Amino acid sequence: MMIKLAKIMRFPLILVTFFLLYFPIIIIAILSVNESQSAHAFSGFSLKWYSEIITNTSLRTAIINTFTVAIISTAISTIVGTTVAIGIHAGSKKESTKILMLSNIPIINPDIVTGLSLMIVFSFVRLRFGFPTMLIAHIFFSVPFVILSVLPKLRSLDKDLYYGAVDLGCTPIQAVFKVIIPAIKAGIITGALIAFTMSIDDFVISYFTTGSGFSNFSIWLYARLGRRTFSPAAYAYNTLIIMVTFVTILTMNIKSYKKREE
Amino acid sequence: MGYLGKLSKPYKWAMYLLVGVPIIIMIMLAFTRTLGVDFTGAEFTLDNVTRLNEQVYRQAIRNSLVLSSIATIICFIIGYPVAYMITGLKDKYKWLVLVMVISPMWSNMLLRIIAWEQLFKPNSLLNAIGVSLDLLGTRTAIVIGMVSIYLPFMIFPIFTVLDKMDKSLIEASIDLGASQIQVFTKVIFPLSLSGVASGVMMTFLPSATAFALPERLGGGRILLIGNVIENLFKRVYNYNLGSLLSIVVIVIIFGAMRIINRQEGGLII
Amino acid sequence: MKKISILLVLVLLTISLVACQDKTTMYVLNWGDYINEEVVDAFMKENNINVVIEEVDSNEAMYEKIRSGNTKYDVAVPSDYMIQRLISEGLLNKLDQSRIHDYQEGMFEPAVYQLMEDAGINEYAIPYFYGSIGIMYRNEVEDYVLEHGFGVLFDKDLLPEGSRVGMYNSSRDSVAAALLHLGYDVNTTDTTKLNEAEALLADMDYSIWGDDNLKNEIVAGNLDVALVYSGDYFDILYIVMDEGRDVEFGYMTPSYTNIWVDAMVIPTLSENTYQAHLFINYFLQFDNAMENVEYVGYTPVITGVYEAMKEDEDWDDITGNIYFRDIYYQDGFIGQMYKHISLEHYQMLEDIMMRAKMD
Repeated sequence: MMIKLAKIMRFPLILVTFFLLYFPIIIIAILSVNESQSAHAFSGFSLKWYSEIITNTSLRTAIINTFTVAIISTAISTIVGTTVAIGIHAGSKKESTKILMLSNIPIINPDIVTGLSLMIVFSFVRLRFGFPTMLIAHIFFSVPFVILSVLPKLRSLDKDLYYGAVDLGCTPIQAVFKVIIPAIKAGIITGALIAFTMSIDDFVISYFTTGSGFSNFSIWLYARLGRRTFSPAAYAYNTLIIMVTFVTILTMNIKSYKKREE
Repeated sequence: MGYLGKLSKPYKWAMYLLVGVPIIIMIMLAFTRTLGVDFTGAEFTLDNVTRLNEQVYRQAIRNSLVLSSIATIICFIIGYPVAYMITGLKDKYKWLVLVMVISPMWSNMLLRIIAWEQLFKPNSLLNAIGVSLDLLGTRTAIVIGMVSIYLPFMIFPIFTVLDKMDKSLIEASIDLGASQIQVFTKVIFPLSLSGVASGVMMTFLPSATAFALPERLGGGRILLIGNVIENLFKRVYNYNLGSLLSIVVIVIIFGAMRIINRQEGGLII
Repeated sequence: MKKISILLVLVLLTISLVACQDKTTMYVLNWGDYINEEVVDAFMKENNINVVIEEVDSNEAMYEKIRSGNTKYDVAVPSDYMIQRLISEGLLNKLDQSRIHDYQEGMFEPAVYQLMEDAGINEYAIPYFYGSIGIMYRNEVEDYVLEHGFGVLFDKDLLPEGSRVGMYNSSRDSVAAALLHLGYDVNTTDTTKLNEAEALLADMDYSIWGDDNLKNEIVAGNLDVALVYSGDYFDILYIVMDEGRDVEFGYMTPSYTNIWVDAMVIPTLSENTYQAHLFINYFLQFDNAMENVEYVGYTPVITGVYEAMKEDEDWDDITGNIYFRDIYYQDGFIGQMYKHISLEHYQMLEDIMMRAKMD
């Protein structure tokens, strides 16, 4: 009975899922080719907002800022996260539980609490808010994800690998670079990808830690909601991003699938 | 590998600084009345604690818990069968459907919220197909928004667990004469609980503490705890009550984590 | 190893690129859609200064940003009562009149001059725009609005069934509108009067508590009436006419209302006071002020600019509307200014609004 019900419900549920996930994205795509700035009605087809991504200076700056912060924070947090993961793996059990607990806090904590905490520390030590504070914040919430994706790879690694390299005359540093890093590459890449995605999309933590007019895309958007300075070029930018990710992921999957078939 | 063990030391201290110090400052702020983080002349007071009992804050906390619980339950009802179904697909389709479920997360979250906001107004793009919704500023709008944004966070962990499940267990129980329903309720579901637990956490936590989503879809008239906290910090400049409420949020969240963890008997993330 | 070092170099390079700018950068704290960016661009070119503008949607948010000191703003544009508060907390510099060359005695509108004098902020601020709060409405409900004034915002029975009402998401403005409707002083601290105002706000079921979006929702037909700043109405009116669309909405300022002035100030934390003075002065120059008004659409504070608009036929639809300026000089018009109130009193207003939103 239940199984039957589940079978009947399967199709509608998939439909509901895709509706919920894709309806807003389709609406954004429609608005990106809407002639009028108003989102209330479709007044005609136009691609002008796509060129405005480049010509609208404030939006362009915000997009550049988003990627600058994402690239730098991903690079730093990947290096830091991998280093720390190697350290945790090598350290004592007690020490590593302690660090893991600490590093899980930014993951579990709601964004608003993380954002506020950082804002409070930064203003307590009188930092000037802007690019540096936002960058520190992004590194802060990215590192734990890198650690979490690298650590399982390290744990499945044969410990003899490292000792073997040392026995063969490698210094510990050389052993790490020549043996460990290549072996955990997949974990590092996953961690970097998560860090990059989180940074690109972040709004709440950036909102509390930025200043001096430094905005990423989300903050640009939030400040202009319902205002004249809002430009539908934001819809166009988002639609482009979605299309690019879609194509990349699909080609990657098709490639890896073909490889597997061979 | 003692030498390498030192590598994580600086990180530990940085985390103490960035996690511990703000909590200490927040606790200090919660029991004083100050201007921002300037503690000169601050005195101990329980005023903020008394104010916590005011109807506004109680209602905001209740709104958060109720709306995000409803959203989480809906996510589970939709997400579990969908995740289960995906595991049953052939490899080729499995990855395609999975990619389709995860891809929307690359679209800016705020922009997706705004798209819903536009549709929930009486005069919207939907008029073209003869539909006029009037949902902006309702709880329904907030719940739809939450489900739409956080559904992938429910599907993904459940899928991961279901997909890794040892198929021989299922075969064994069928051999032992279990009906399909029994296989599901006695074997599959209990084994997938860890995925359900992380799915629930990953949908409930962010939706309960969101502030942009309820602000936009709630038409500014339904306050969740996130809205109240943001308002206290960014408009009223009352860091004291704001800190106290943040501490309340942290306590609720870590309490909820403990409960789910204990039931689950393991680490979630 | 090589890849990592290349990555590191790239990172350092980007950081230094972001950090190094030979131009002075000044930070301006403004309201949304409240400055003509072309004028700002011209200012940047002429003086070789980089101007970064941040936008907020309330005086309270503006206060928080200046007070917290997270960004060291050089110029901000708060309203009268918030300027009083900032002065009382020692957060503003006195302006150096000698560095504002284009200032002339009597160049500002009499109503503005009066406001600044009443607020006691002349030495700290140069006016930017002024206006009042009133009601923006769809033409279908015009008769009701003209008859009842602020009443339509607080009594469901005064509007046709199913009408949708929007309220300003700012405690100061929403409570003031209720007080004005009741005929009370906008600055009252009398708890019984405030309770009455709260009851009015709580009884209504506002469709949207918004800010700049209220005017857009009226134009789109998603709201029938809303509390809107006078300037916001003229701003959107100008845009709709410009696009050649039908104007299906109107505006009225009741004759007992609030009147306000937004003015440029220099916070004490400013590190570029020389540039800040240049910036303030730039917006006093006739051509720049004119261009700025054309974009912003609010009532200009400089008499010369207003007169030039009046002579230009293109502006007839705007300047001919009494709510643009003339009402402030009519007999029987009483514009009350918000005054700086104590922190406790301010928290009271905030609580009133929050409670009114809860059901």
